[in-house]
Amino acid sequence: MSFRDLADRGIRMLNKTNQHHQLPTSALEYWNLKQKNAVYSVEFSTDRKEHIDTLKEIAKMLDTTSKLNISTDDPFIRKNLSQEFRLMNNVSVNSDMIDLTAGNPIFYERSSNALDSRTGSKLVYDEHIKNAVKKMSGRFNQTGPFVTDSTWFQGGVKQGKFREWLFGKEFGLKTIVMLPSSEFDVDADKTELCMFLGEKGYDGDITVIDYETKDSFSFDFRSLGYVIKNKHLVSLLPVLNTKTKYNWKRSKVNLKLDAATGQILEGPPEVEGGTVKVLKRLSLNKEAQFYDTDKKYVKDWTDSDKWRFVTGYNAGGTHADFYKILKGVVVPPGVIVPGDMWFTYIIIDEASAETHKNHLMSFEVQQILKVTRTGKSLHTPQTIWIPYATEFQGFTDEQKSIINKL
Amino acid sequence: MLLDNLFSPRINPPVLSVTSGTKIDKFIHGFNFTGLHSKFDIAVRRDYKTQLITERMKLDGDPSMQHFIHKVNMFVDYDQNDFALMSKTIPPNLMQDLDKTWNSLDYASLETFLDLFFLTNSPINLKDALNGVIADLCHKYKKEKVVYDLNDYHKRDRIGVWLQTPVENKEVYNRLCDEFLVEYFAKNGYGFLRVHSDAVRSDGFSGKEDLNKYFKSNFDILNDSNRYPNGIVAMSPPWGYASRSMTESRLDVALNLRNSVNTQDDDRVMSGGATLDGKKKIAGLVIRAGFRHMTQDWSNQQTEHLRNLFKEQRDEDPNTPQIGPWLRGINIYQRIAGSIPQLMDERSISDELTNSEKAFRDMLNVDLTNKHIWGHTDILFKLNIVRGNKEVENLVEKIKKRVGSSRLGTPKTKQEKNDEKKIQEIYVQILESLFGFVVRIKGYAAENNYTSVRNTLEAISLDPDLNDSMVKDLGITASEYLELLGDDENQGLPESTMNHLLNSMIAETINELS
Repeated sequence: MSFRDLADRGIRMLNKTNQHHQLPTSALEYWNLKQKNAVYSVEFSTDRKEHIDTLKEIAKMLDTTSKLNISTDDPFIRKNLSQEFRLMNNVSVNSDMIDLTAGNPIFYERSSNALDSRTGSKLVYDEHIKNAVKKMSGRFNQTGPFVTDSTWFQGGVKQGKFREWLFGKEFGLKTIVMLPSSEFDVDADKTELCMFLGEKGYDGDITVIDYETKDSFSFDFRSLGYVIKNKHLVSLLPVLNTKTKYNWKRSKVNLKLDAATGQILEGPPEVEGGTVKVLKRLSLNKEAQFYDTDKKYVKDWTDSDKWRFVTGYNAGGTHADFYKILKGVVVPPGVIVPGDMWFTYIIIDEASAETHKNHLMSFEVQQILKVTRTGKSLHTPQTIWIPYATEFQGFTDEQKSIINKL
Repeated sequence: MLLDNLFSPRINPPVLSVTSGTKIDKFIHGFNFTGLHSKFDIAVRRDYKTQLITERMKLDGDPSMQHFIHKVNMFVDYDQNDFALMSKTIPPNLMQDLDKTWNSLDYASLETFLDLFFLTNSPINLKDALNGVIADLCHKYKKEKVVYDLNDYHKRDRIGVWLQTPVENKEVYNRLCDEFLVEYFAKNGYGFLRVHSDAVRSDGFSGKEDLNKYFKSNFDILNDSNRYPNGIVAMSPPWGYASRSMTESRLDVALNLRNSVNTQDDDRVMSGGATLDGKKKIAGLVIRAGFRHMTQDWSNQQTEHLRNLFKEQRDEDPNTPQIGPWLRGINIYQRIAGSIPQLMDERSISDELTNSEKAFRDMLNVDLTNKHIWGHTDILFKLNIVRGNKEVENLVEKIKKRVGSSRLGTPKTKQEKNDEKKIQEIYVQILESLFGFVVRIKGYAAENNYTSVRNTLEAISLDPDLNDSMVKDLGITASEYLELLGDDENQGLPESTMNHLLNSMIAETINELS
């Protein structure tokens, strides 16, 4: 192994920690590099050997009249790249003259004041991509390819705005390529990456391509407002769509248990003969466990006066099953549902409680979630494609047959 | 004005024929210390030769190379078998700590130990070793334009030995000499010279500044082939900074019999000129010896020596590749216990230098007992890879508590074993992350001709923008990284290996491009 190969191991660890990934070689297949007299720019570049090799490949593929610019805001990476490309005349680093841009920005940026992995971080990928497009001279219409997490397909409020911008004429989203995670040093179970390209002013159908199988299909996702990556579901889900969505909530009641003994380490203490019930454990294929406490120990009573369906993070589940809602319990008013144990709930009425429970834990719903759910924590955007149990007539045999094939 | 003229650069700057370690910085510092010329520019006066220069000169057939003194390092392992060859048993002390052995005045052990080097026909007899080296060097360079005639240099009868011991106390030094060393060396045919301030003064010299005169005068006196048929042994003085401007050419072998290494002290044998027996001098032999505990003990020192040499060549010429003409100038002997010293060939040296995986392993070599690193958990917690990860923070705290305590033994319970495994994984991840930053700064280091991680970090620490960027990348500032590197007294991260990785990565990038 050469020292340069070895260097890659060091950079990889640094990049992985900072979620800084390279533009994959798959980008070469979809980026039109044949424009003449154009300055192509790869934004958010890293100094990983793999990335450098890709950049060299791009520089070789360009027309002799075109140039490659490599862009980074890290002074150390800039110097590493300047050294790597000092003998290549058609490559510059951090030039201002840019016609076409592409890249793989970091997803979120961690604040230097962040105390743990869940606080002080902000999503930055959308702003980075928007800024990269703004840098373009306007001589050419093609935009991208950019690479990022596919969560923006459905996402929350911020992802929604970004999605609208992609659908809009400024980016003109035209193609989405679902990428294999093997091209990146990421946890494949948690992250699904895609590459997307556009054409300024374009407002037609959007094509989704599976990079590995090369399967593709097109759909008017602009009208739908979302992107569904599965061609079997793309016609089915809009039909099943209901007005009401499952709105997942978490309380602010802390509860921490000793994993081995079940002893309460933090949260409302157990009081024998206490008048308030607290949900303690929700285990796979077991009855839910509750304990009693006293009113004076409960600070947050939000939604405790309502019927709820509660599910939880699949801590013991296999990675392959992360998308499923495997465990659940209907709790009546008066029961406290802690939020710190990854319990999450929806509010339902007593009459339809079991219907919702059976529906959410049904095979068909699991199958839809298999394709649409993108993370282990359960938030409202993760279940937007699940029809609300009391607002639809149930799955038809034809629909079930499609869902079965997923 | 007069002083400026007096101390302006000379037309013929001093040339010191050494290939590592000693430059003439100390000479310049001596000058500056007088206060007469406090801003003397070292760079102007410095003219020392690295392997790179001398090898190029040899290849060009430069006649001055015939007088060049080759530095030869010999790393000597010994074990029970070597003593058995002399019909002796190895004293237990020699299997442990050389410094303790000297300072305990355990003469029986010391005599057995010194016999290894000074007894006729002993396994590492110094005269035999030096003659072997001379023959090898003449053979090695026989095909070059510079002609080395073996007869001019070989068959040395009487040699000068610079004996380096860990003795720091003058009383102990004197007792050792009076009670043991003078008689021991006389018995073995060597004159003995004690070197310390009282000895210098009692001979009528004014002190350390007259060290050179004292040395030459006493070597003249002891240079008696009838009384001392094998030569002279001078014992390094009991003060830390022993070098001064002592340039005795009649010293041939530096024998380092202490735990630590002082490269300046090693170079006492690198002065050219007359020898005790009138032969020409071709080499200064530096021997480091130790009992073999583990097979890699001495090869580690050897590797580190090679890596430091490569750094030195890059100091001289930033474009030096790992494998270049300078390799020919490296003379390293490896002496495996119970065998004959072997001169490492160019191939082995280049294999050693280009073994990236070994360097990487050396860097990640888990040392969970390093008090310096684990004493800085405040800095470790700031690393991006650790920050916010409660599990990692808890494990780091656990290590901190265990360092220096009796709990460092083999983990007993299953829980401890699990922790141990996790701790090692985290340690490796922390080191990989720190190494990752060395990779990141290589372009900056190359642009500014820095050849060490320390110099590069020092420069970054002075630039607020670079420092900010470093915090973003790694989580800590340059000053905090420097803290983790440690200093002379507190060894932190494996700096020498990290320097080698930095230099090798830069050299490889440059060579690939050109």
